[in-house]
Amino acid sequence: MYRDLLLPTTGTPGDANALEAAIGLARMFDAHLSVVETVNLPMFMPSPWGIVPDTLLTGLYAELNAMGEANVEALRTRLAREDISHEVRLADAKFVSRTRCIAMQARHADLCVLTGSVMQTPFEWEIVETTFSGMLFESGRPVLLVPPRHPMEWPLRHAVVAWRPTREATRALHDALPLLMRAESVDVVAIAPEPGESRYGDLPGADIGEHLARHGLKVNVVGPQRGAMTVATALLRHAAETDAQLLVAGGYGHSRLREWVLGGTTDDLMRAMDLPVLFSH
Amino acid sequence: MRDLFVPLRGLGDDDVLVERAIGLAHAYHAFLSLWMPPPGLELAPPCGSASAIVLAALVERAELLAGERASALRERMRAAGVEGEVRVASVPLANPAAAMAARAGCADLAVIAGAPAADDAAVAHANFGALLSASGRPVLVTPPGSATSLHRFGKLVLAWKPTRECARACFDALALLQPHTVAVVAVAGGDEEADSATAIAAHLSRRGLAVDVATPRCAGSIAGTLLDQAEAHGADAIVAGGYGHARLREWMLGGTTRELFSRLDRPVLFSH
Repeated sequence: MYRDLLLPTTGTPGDANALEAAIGLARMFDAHLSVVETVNLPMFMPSPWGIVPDTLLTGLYAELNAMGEANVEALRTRLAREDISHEVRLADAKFVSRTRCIAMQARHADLCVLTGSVMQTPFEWEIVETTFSGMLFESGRPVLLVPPRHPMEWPLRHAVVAWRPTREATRALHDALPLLMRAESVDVVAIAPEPGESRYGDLPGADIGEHLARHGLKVNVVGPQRGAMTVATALLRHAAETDAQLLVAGGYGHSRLREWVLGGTTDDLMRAMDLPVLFSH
Repeated sequence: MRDLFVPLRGLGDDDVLVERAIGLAHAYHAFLSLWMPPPGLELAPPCGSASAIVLAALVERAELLAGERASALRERMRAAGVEGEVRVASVPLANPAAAMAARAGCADLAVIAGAPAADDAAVAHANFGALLSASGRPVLVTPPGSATSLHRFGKLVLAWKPTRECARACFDALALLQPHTVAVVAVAGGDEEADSATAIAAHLSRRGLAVDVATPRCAGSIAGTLLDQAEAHGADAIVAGGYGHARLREWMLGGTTRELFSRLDRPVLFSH
């Protein structure tokens, strides 16, 4: 059961679609939707004298605040048309980290909704990625990434769960249970174990399949993918082939450093996803 | 809550734990998975110097004993009318804690007993630490000794701090234990903590729960204050974030977590 949803805006075009998805979710679960717009002041490099000119800053604050207020007004107007319980907040993150500010609020919500991959400009990617990873690491709550231009479809017919025997994967699927319970069918895709991994047991995915079946889900366990595809490609292909409307995955199972150096499934999914993905860490 | 995972330790206090787990499985109509380490081996000294033949014989004997014990446990569950299974860890010399944590990941909740008499405390702490940090599932620690059996948890004390561990613990407890009353207890915090406690209380109200917020001063220790609050509220269980601070297994548990684990007099649900 989700009773509280949180949508942080990012100032990127994908926000609109994420908002539609969040409204749909709020209606489906009869949940309260909180939209948080942040007024964020970019960090300045100090001048050689170590001082940022006062006048410049004051002018910028006023401008940013006005922009924030205008966005909040637009969001309120949009939400006034819906018959869901909602609120729009303006969070002042001028002097604290924006992601920390949002993560704090996320801790009181069942689920966070956020716009997903935006490939237009590096700046958009940066802000979406930092918001996403900040929430995932700091809030302890799951994050549903909704890609721009892909409306979320209800009711949920089919969902795919990416499964490895890791704490991130099990958190993700348990956090997603309220959604998965509403799906007509769920595929559990057991991801091929990495070399040396021995935690799978004899039949990859069998135990988790039984567990989900006890929750009343109609589960189909799909064996590890073979071949040269990356994990992300294999998952997205399986989701496309089975016409899934939701993917559930553990986020950043490896350390950030390792993902950064070697690349990782979470980043791959973020860049290529063409359906909503629920991540948990 | 549909699936309970209960790792046994092959020691005397297993009987109390099994009894409680059966009560809990009854109360929530849950499937009960009992997990057994082959008896004795977990506590045996390093086996590096034993000859292969001796070792093989020991393992064989241990597996035989475990098999007999498993049958007895299955019979006990059948008699109690609880659906479940008993598994014996099949790779006794590999890292049993990692295998246990992986298995717990396929359940809703792991249930263990709190720190028993001093000589077993190291094993109990190691198992608790492994489950908490590696399984990805919450851990319900029941008080050691032969206290009352477990029923549904209607009334909870939520030990609240604005951290991700507390957020996890809170939402895990709501989804699994389905309480009707929650007392949010924020011990010794500032404005940020008080605001956050109010916000989580608002969420609990939206779920239709009876909510109470308390911000007591810290009396002695945080763990002690929480236990006092639970007593004052007549709580069936405490819900708390569990912290793993340092890298070494011995120091895995943060101060409050460790103290709560050692002193608890009613069940505590920890999430990490």
